[in-house]
This record gives sequence, structure tokens and C-alpha cells, in this order.
Amino acid sequence: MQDANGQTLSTYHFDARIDDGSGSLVFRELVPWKAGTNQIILKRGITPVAKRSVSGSSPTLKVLRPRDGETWGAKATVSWRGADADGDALTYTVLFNSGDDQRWVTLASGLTRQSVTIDPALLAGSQKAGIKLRASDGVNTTEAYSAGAFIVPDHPPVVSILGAARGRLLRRQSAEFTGAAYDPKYGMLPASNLIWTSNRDGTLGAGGHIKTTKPLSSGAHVITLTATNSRGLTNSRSVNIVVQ
Amino acid sequence: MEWPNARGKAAFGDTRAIEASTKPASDPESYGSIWAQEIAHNFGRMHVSTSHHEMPPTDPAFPYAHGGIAAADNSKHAHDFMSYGANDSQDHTHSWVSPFTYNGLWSSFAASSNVAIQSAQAAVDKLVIGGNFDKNGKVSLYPFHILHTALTSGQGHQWLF
Repeated sequence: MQDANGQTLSTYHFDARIDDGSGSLVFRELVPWKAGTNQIILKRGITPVAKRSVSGSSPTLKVLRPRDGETWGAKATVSWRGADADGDALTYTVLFNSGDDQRWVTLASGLTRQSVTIDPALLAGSQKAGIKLRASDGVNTTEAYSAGAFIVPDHPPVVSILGAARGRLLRRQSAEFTGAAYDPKYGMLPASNLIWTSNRDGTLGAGGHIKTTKPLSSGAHVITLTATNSRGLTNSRSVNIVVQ
Repeated sequence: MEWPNARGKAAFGDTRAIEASTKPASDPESYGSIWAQEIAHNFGRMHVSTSHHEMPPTDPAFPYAHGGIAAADNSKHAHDFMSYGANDSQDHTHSWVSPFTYNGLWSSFAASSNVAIQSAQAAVDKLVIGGNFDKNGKVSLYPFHILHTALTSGQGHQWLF
């Protein structure tokens, strides 16, 4: 890092050691920032290979949506207005906070447009959610927050049946089923919240992995895994199988 | 920014997990297994097996044939989620994890926890830099940004970027 007079403020060494499969090397580093940096020079060995100038102005940024009190539906829009007095191209990162803790979850990054559509299905429900926007002009960074708080409704668990392909043949004496359910607010649901049923033989059992205790009826079945979270929200997923 | 294998990209807002194709959220089995693979790439896990045209580099230390989760005959086995093996009519399944991948990830988590503890000192402004050297040595720089954080560079929390 150099100042406006070309004096070195700091030097940081790192290895570009990650091969992405195409023969290139990728690097990502956290470098202690020095106030007064005017230019960042990247050297390979002692040879300069790239540089980035630090412009005089930081971006300006204002979050337009979500608005205070807004309730998110199946799709939600985050929009903002960003500008840079130096005319630098801006890139944006969108982060979400449920209001329950201090964690900010990145929803989208590397954006060059000034809005993004979010699918909140896997976000924890919240009455006090917030959005943080980060704008970068290549170096200078500005952050802005959504005004007040917005509402993300609770979502049902996401249910998955594993390993039972559609139309699969199962032996009636030894049928086994495996599945799981993820709840945006409570994480992976415990086995007791997972119920397996057959459209022909009724309830088969509870758990992430079950073995049927009595032979299934021969023929086609619709096997359904239903998951219920602690707030009573349910979701299910079914698969068609054939028992022989 | 897409880095097959070495760096996974699991983009939440756009409902996609990227390696070869986009999967809809309505297909949670494929969706979840791809997410798992992309996230594991972020923790340093390579593809296992070359039997399903997995993109190189693949992990030469992986001990099982055909991307399976244990020693098994080739006609019937479950695939490790770091392979491209999928469900088919011959009783191959995907979305499972081998002891090799499980232990490797566990070690990565432990290492990243140590890094986080060691670095939980004073938060200061840090410049997040990134880019790549292509195979001809040409450099491309990503947008940098300044982050107020106590974290330091190191394997295990690259996902923060």
C-alpha cells in the first residue's frame, strides 16, 4: 500500500495457492487497512502485476426497500440507491439479520444493479428483520441499513426424502426410508417431528430413518414424509414406489 | 464469481447453487446435495472419484472406488456427496457422506474454530482483496472492500467474503 507520494505504508505477503481446476490461481485475503493509502500494488515476487488506485470519495448509499413495517411474501425486493462522486463502478452486497442475534447473513454479493429479488423461504421468520447494504467502489466501502424493521413470516420446514427414487422397487418385508427436514428457524428437526405414511398402509413410523415393522402391501404406494416444527408449521414430500 | 471445485458458490438470494447447472428450491434433494458440495469446497474438500466425469482436481487420497461411501461392489453403492454420482435404476444413490469426507470436514471446522479463537482480538479495518492469476499469469482483480473485523486470512472462513 502506497500513499499519494509513492511511499510504502505497508507490505503484505500471501500465496495464491488455490487451483480452481482451470489452471488459474485464486486469492482472497484480509489485509490490515492503512489510512492514507492512495494506491494498492500487487506484485508477484518483485514484479508489479496489477494495481488499484484509491479514489477520493466513498460511495453514497441509501436503502429504499424493505420499508419499515413491510411484510415479505413469497418473493421480496431489496432496492437501494448508490452513487459515487468519482464515477467509479459500484458493486453491492446484501446482508440479512433476523433481529434475534448479531449475525448478518449474506444474501447476494457482487451485484452491479440496484435491486435484487430475494426468495425468503429459507430465512428465519422474524418480526424485527433488517437489511444491511454494502457498496464498494473497488476499495472505498459504505454501509447502509434498512429503516426500522420488516417482517419475515415463519416458513414451514423444507422436507427431503433421500435415496428413494420415483418408481423404485422395495421388498415388502424390509422396506426402509430415510429423510430429513430443515427448518429455517430451528435447524434440522428432530426425529420425533418426522412422520412417514403410506397412502395404503397408513402411518409407518417416525424418524429420519425407519424400517417398517410389518410388511407393506404389495403394489404401488405413495410414501409421504411430513415434518412439523415447534410452532406447528408442517410440510411434506412424497415419493411413488412399488412394493413387491 | 464461480470457482468449480476449489471454491464453491452457493448463492442464496438467487436460489441457486452453482457448479454445472442451476437447481430450483423445489427440488430439495438435488438442491441440498449440491449446496453441500459447494459449501464443502469452501472448506477445502475436492471432488472424489473420476467415474462420473468429476471436474479435476479430484482428491487422490479418497479411498473408495466410484465415489462410494465405503468399499462396495460397483453395481450397488451410495455416493459420497463430493462425487457427481447420482440416483439411478441400479441402486446407486447420492447425498451420502463417506468417513473420509466427514473426517476431513470435521478437521476443517476444528481448524477454522482455532483460527477464529486466535483472531478474536481487536477488530480493525481490513481490506478484503481478491482476484486470480489465469494459466498465462494474467491477473484479474475482484472489487475490494473494507471490513471492520477481528478475523484474519486463513482457511475455514473464506465464506465470509
